[in-house]
Amino acid sequence: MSVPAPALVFVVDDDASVRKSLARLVRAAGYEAETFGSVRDFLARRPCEGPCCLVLDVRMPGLTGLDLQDALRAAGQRLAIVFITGHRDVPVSVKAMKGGAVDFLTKPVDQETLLGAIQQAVARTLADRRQLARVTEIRRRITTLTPREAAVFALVVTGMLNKQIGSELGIAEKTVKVHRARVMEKMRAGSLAELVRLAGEGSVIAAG
Amino acid sequence: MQGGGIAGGSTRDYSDERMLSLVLLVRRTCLALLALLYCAPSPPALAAAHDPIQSGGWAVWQVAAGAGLILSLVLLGLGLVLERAGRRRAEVLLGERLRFETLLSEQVATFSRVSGADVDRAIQRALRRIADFLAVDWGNLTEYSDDSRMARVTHWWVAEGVGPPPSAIGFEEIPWVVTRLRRGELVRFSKIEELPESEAAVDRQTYRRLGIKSQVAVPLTVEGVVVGALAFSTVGSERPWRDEFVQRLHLLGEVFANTLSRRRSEMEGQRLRQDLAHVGRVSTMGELTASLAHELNQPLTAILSNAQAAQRILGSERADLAEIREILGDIVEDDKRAGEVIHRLRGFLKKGTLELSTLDIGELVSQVARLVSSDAIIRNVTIRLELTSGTPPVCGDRVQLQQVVLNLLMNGLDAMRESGVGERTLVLRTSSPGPASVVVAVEDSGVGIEGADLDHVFHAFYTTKPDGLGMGLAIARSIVEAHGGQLEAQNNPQGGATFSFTLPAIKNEL
Repeated sequence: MSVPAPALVFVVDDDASVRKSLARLVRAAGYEAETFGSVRDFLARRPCEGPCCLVLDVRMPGLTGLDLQDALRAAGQRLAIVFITGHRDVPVSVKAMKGGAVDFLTKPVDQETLLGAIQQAVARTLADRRQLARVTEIRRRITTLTPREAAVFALVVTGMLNKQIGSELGIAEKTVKVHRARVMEKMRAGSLAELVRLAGEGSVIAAG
Repeated sequence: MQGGGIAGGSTRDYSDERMLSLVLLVRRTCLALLALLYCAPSPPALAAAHDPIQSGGWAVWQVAAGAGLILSLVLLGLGLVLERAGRRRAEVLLGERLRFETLLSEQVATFSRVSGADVDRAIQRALRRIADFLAVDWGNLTEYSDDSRMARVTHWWVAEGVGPPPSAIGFEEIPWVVTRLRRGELVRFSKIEELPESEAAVDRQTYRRLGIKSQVAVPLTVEGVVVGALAFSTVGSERPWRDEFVQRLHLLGEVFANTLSRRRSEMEGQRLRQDLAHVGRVSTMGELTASLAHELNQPLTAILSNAQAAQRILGSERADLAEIREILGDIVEDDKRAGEVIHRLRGFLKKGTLELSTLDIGELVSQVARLVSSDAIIRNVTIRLELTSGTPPVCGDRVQLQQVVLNLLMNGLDAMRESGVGERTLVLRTSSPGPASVVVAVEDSGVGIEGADLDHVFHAFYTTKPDGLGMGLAIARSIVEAHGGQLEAQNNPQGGATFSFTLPAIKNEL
């Protein structure tokens, strides 16, 4: 409906009738749905690559929804989560939202709210993936730099002039110019401003 | 009349006594006469030897003495016969008295043992046996109303063919009798005319109307207050009441009064325990609110999502009726499930009287474990059930015993809240150490109980929890003890504590 290729919604809830009904609603709204009775079951599934999101119960026997959130982050999977809970628990909801959850909904949840959150979550998953792909690409480009080029790159983006870089690295200003041109080329940056932005994106994500 | 001990002996008792004294009198007279005959003849005999004129008198004297001797012997013989009859009669009376004593001491023994629900039946039985023995027509126990206006008949027995007594008698109908009874005096009359003519005129009238000919009534005194009376009456005929029986009836009245007063305090105690149990359940429920909200939320969530999914499906071009039907079926199921949660909650909170039934302890324990399961999940505790199959059934109140188990489980969960890391497991175990009992144990891996606390955990208002009332375990123990069992606490060697209770098992009928 709203999405051209139907996105996939994972429903993880220990209550069979809840996950069945949620899956039904999600399907009726035009999504694909897959249900899981526990966190362990879900983790056993291979990560999805297309548009998807996760509708996740907070409290479950064994591993909880928060445990799954941690596990996905640790695995570097980009999968936006809509939490649903039977009990409003402020500390838990704060933790979930800090961990990047799209929403934290209380059962019973109305379709407008749920489907809105799902739509947002699918979009978030895609955006996150795009960003991840971009960062991966930037990092790949960085790996093509020679050590000297990498050193020049690191100093260029801090706003140093070629002359300063040359004296910092103990090389001639001319040599710096050559390295700098190679960096611009390898990083596919059209301008210094773009190079700075690429450095920022790459390192921010790397730090994260 | 009713073929028992002193049957029909309305006036014979007195005639027997009279006859006994007559026998004694005759016997004494005869003996005196004989003694006189043997000792007294010498003066006339001596005189006759010297005076022949008087020898005619001597002959007369001899004839008279002979006749006297014969008469004396006859009388003596008759006396002996009568005496033997009298003695036999006395023996019969003594036997009766002994049997009555035995009957009374049996009653005393019965009433010292009887408790609660059996009291009524025991009183009924005692009334029947005593009335039967005394061969009276009515035996009844009356209780005075709180407003001191009437005597209600609480227990009664009537002979065959005699109508039942009135269910209550107003004090104004028997003012003279009631006044005496309420002063702690006993009232007895062999015939209505023995009641004072003017003072008891109303009483006389009432008894005549009721057809009562004679009566003995003893007051029932509880803690110095006359609360009722025990009365035996005849309607068929007048009869005397022997002192010794009346005295014994007084004693029986005391036994009845004691029993009634004990039952009253037992009922008071039971009511108190029920109130406490109710308070305990309500407060436990408060602790459980979170998990119950969760239990209700699940079916409500499913119902809402299913219904909205159905709306969407119906709104689309390709409405799949088979799926709609399936969805509606699921909605019905989830609705029932929600109803069950509420039903369970209601059943649990019901402030009812003790309802005894035969229970499978394993089933009862599992039900409670289910009730707590979502709470355990929230607290990240695993509840492990170790149920021994084939434990003998127990007799008890389902709700109250569930409450005990619930209380122990909640305590176990709380105990582990305080413990830091490590495996959080609550083991719920049932076993049967023998055919006569079953044991339920709740073993936690929490912090255990400090030595000083171990002595006090079952005391009312003793708590180590900041938000605890300190009533839970005290109530649990009183419930277990009311079921004839014991509740105990001990620390585990590997850490944590175990609370366990035993219950007597119902013996399997083979």
